[in-house]
Amino acid sequence: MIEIKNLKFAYKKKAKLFDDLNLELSLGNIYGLLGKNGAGKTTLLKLITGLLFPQSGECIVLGEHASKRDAKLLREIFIVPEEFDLPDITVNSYLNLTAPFYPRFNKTQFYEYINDFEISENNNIKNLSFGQKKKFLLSFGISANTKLLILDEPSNALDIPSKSQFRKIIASSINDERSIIISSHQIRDLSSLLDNIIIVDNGKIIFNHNIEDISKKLVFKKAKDTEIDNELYSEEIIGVKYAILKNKNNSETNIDLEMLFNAVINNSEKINNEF
Amino acid sequence: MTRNKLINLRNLFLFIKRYIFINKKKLSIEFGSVSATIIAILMFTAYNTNSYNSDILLSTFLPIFFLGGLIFTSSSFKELHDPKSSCSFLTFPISTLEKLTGLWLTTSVLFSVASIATIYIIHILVSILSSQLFDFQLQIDNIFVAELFKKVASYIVFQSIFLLGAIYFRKNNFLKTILSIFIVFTIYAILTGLAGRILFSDYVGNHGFSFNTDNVSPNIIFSLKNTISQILNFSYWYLTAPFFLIISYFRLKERQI
Repeated sequence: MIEIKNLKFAYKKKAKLFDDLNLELSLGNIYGLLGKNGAGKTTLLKLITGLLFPQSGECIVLGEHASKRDAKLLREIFIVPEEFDLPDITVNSYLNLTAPFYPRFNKTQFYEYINDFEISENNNIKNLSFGQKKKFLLSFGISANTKLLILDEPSNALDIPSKSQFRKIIASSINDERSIIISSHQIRDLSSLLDNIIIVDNGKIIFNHNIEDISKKLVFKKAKDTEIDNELYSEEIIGVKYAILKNKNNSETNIDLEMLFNAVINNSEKINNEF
Repeated sequence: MTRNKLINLRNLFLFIKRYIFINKKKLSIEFGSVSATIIAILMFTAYNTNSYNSDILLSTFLPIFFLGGLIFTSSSFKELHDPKSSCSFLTFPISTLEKLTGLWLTTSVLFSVASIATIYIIHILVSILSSQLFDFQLQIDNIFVAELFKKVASYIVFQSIFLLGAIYFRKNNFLKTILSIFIVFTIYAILTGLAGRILFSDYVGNHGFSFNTDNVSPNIIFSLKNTISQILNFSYWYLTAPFFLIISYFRLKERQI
């Protein structure tokens, strides 16, 4: 679905952000795009949606060069940016004016979601709080049923009940014909959702594996001194040592995304050697 | 993935409808306040001059129409320049050509049609009001004269420059476009003057740019003036708008955020 080949990109008067970046993403998955501030997550999303153009290399989305911003391609992409503005009209007006541009838009689904998020269809979207605006745009984006849904920091500004609602909606909306890319710092909110973890650092993809493989290869648990040989990474939280260990006994543990992220940032080679 | 038609008329219609609906409050206020101002000016003029006719109406309306249209055009790509809305504008699922055509049609043809319809209503209203208030004979002149349509056509040509300015400049589009036109014309005038001085050095005095045409046949002068006038006329009416629209298209297509 997305093929990025030897992509190079730099902002004007700045050092190269991406140098020879390669990445392949397929349909039917929810990808978690993680990285430190300034690592290039949002830039990568902008390259995928054709909002930025590569200096060299290719970014092909659904068989088209993203930078061409072809209408057929744009009908299959919906992006919910981290920050956005909405026009001074009601929920229903926005729906009637914008939904016709998305061929698989499902109004029933949309009304169900905004109802779950407790947004009235007669509200003026300009006057909603930022959290409500985000819930509205997430509902619209998911209901558009585009093949590619891109969410940049989607759980920012969402209250606690809405975060769990959001997870439910995302989990129910994924199918073999669509992929979702979620870029976020709040990885604990999303850990149960993701099929694939991509970690970006200094303009490079330093980790790209699916959850199943991670579960097979790594164990996340409280560390015992006797397991030091197996230890790939450890950190102490309030006097207790937690570690990522090699999975030698095919044990199944919950993936601690935050610890995995820290481990990969700390020494990506060591973690990647296990795959 | 199959290829798009160059312009999908359904998309174009829906995009224009969406633009007008989203901006309807702003447009209503602007149209309303300008209309009220024109009515006030016309009534004041009718009271002072003891007359009202279509000439007075058109001489009041046309400068306002021109200025209003150029300001409206300059702000038509506001969504593109706002960091919070540029992403949704550029990823809006229609082609660049449809976006440009939609906003060009809205700010040129639709704006002109709406303005003419409004001014016609104002004309009827002012004719009735002045006949009632100032005892003028009720007479509703025909305002759909050649001069009106020529000025509207001229606006449609000239506004294409401001459409490019609306895409090119991120802030103060209207003023920056005027400044750019001024700079371009100044440079053009200087270069033309210099070229004229060099090419026709035998006919130019030592100071200034005045040409001494005493020794040139009047037929040549006439023919030269006629040719230049024809070239300028043709360039303005047939080349200006396509030229600026094509540049606007590529500028919009190459736009990143």
